[in-house]
Amino acid sequence: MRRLIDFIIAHSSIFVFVIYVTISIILLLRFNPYQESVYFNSANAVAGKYYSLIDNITGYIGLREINTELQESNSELQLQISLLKEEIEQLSEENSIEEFSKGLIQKNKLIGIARPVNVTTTNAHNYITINRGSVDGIKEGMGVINRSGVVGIISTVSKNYSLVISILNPKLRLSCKLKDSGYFGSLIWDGKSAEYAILEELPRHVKFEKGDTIITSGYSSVFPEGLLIGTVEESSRQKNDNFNAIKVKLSTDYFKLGDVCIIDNIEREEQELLKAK
Amino acid sequence: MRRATIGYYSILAIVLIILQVTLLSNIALWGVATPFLFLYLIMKLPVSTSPNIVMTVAFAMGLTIDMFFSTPGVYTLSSVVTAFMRRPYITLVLQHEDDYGTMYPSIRTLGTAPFTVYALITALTFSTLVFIVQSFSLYSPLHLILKIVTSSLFTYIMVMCAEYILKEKR
Repeated sequence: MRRLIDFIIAHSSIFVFVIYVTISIILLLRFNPYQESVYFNSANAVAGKYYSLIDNITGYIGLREINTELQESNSELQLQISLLKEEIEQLSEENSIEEFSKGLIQKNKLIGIARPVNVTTTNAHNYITINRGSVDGIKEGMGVINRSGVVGIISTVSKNYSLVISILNPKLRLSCKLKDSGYFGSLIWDGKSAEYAILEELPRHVKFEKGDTIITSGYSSVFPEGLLIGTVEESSRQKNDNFNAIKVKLSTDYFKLGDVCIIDNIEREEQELLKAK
Repeated sequence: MRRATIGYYSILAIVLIILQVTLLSNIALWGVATPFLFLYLIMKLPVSTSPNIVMTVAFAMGLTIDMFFSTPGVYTLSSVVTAFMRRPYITLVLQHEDDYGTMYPSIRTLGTAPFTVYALITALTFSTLVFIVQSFSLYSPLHLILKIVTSSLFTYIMVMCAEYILKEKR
């Protein structure tokens, strides 16, 4: 027994090493963005507070550009409003009120607007921390979009902060389609550049050209159909002879994200209840 | 270790973690090179420091950085293994076995060439581990090697800058 203790003391560094490595590997393997592992990610209180503080300081950088963009989109929206008003006036005269209200019931509702307090783009698995949490009604699995397109999906929620798994994360697969032809594939990030992702599993005979628009397909319960993802950049590597892969230029600029919207599918709860049964 | 030394290393640890989390890990020069300056602390601990303490420091720093990046285990595992390799690396570059005592590794005590070797292999060990652990699901070996090599070089350059800046104070 004494010799055993002596042995352990003499080789203590090996034991300490093994213990630390075991803990690290457990952390590494247990972490799943869809589990509630709030303490070990940046949605926890300490990291969240710290990032908010830094964001308060750096938030002013780039405001001018965002302002111009907002003004542009504002004027565009005002134009649309005036057009829509005209249309409504015409329609309300023509149609009954019942049919009009049907058009208003949409599948998706806006939960809220949030500010990203931390955005990573250089890791192999990238996440975004936003300053809204369960207090604001945010739940796991909701969609996150911004002015220029899809940003990601909520993965973990703490009281005041949430973690968004961004498109720049190979753990996220998004069902997308070519706007013109309607053929769909699955979008995944290849871990290289924050500006591009790969649209895989596209049938081989599908024709496409550089600049074609790619939108969400609406087959998942998270995003409605028709949200902008990006444009075709070039034909990319092919893993399988029967399928094409396209390099997609993402419409969302992760380097200047600005405020994001959190949306939820009203039918999601119903779908999930159905699954649970 | 004297109390003043512990104080110095604690402040250095906090400064390095803040720098790493806020600034350095968001850098990707040409899309590939990321400096891991927080390794500087692990490199600079006195030569006589017990490997257990070095690994504990590395574990705590790795865990803190992981917490900020939502990457549990990635930085922790890599920095613990790097800390474990510190003793062999020091023995490799140390020329006089007798002045082992209270010395801490620096350009002045080791000499420029041995310190360069020491800093580079430490950075290379860490970069290799961190990128391999991160990229379980990715498949492009060339890109991976490019990332490892450029990040090691970038880390080395930043370590030399830190070494130069902190030279006067110690």
